[in-house]
Amino acid sequence: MSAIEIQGFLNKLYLEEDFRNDFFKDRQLFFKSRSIHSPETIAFMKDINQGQVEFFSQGLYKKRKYAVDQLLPRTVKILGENHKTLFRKFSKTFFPDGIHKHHSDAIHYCDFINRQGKKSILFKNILKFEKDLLKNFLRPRYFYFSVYYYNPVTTLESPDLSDITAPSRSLTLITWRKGIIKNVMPFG
Amino acid sequence: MENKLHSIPYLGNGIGFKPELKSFIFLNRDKIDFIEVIAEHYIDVPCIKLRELELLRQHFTIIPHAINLSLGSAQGIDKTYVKKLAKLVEYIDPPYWSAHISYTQAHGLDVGHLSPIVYNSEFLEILSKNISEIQSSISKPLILENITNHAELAGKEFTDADFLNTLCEKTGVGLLLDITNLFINSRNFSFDPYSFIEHLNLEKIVQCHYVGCEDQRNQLTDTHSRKTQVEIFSLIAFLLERHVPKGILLERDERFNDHGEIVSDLLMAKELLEKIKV
Repeated sequence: MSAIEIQGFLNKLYLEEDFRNDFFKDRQLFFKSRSIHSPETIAFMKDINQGQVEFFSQGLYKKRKYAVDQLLPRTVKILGENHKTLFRKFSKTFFPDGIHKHHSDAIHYCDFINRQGKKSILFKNILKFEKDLLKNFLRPRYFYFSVYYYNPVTTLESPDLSDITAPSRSLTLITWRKGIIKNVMPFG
Repeated sequence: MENKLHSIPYLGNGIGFKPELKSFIFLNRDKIDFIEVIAEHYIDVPCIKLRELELLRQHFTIIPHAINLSLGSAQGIDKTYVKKLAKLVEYIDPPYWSAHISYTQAHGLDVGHLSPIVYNSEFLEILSKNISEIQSSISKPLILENITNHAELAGKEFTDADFLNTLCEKTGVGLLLDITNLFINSRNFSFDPYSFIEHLNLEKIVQCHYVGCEDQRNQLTDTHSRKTQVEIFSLIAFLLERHVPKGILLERDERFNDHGEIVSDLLMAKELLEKIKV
């Protein structure tokens, strides 16, 4: 097994739960189903300790979730307990990479949430705002405009989200410059 | 490269910069001689982050610490990223910069965390090739950090200390000895960390990292969030009796509000460094 194959295999083992379960459930079957015959490869794979890999994988998952929690604090708070289930589901569908992988992960998670059934306009508004913040951080354009049904800045300033369960609508235009909010204009 | 390592000035007591610690760092300047920034936090970011970097640069010696380089990747390193990193290092103009002995990327999947490589001759070659490539883009001295290892892999041909010594010898890089990672590995895999230090080529150790670790289900992990344990400071003291690196640095990444803990760690490190100076 070449070094590149070892690393490809390990990454899948660390990141993909189904792949990991298949491997640890029955290694002989795993080798057979994937036509792995090399004694050297089989010896390497047989030596992998399930407990150690599970511990490492769970650590990776926790780290990933923690980073997204930090980047989408309001979205996560509104989702409450559902967040755990949704993020677990999402984490199997997308694997972030690159310098700003956590930002990219959070943006894709917003898209994933958007695809999950009906949501209140207020929640959609918060989701859109947190996604816009991240997108503008990653790809700061000289100018960028975005319209919201609620003023996201004033609604989101509240540290206690129970305060914003039913704020009154206020059509708001936000201007971003080089990734930073420059102007918040409520006009409705 | 060897001469470059020798010409690195003494830096002293440092702390890893996090935006949450900005005020703390400026208020505790008497305890902080230099800072480390995560290189990726200043690549492809809005101007506000670059202004933050400029402010830090005006007040501190900054060491860029790269976490996404994946030097141990058999597929090679990302050239676009290296170009950006080189530009950042040039801008900061540090005495040296640092990265890890690990890989994160393979077959289009990014593990999202520093993952161990197998300490054998094949991976020694891979690292050497990748290091040589990066040294042709970034001329500042490079030092590499030992990581924690939670999953042991078969195929090891070197002891950990021998691998680090050989790598440094072969490539001319220095060592960023993470004392906490060493302590964690020694506990999780039952080896003597003092003997490990004694087997290292100490002259290659340019900088140290330290921070407290946590016990999670009978495994120590590097959460970078706790007060540094006495055992870790004992290891630092043991090293300092034999070799004084250019700097030792607290790598705190979470629980920033507990300033008392952070100050206590910084003061302890400062005291150890001052004892050596005397």
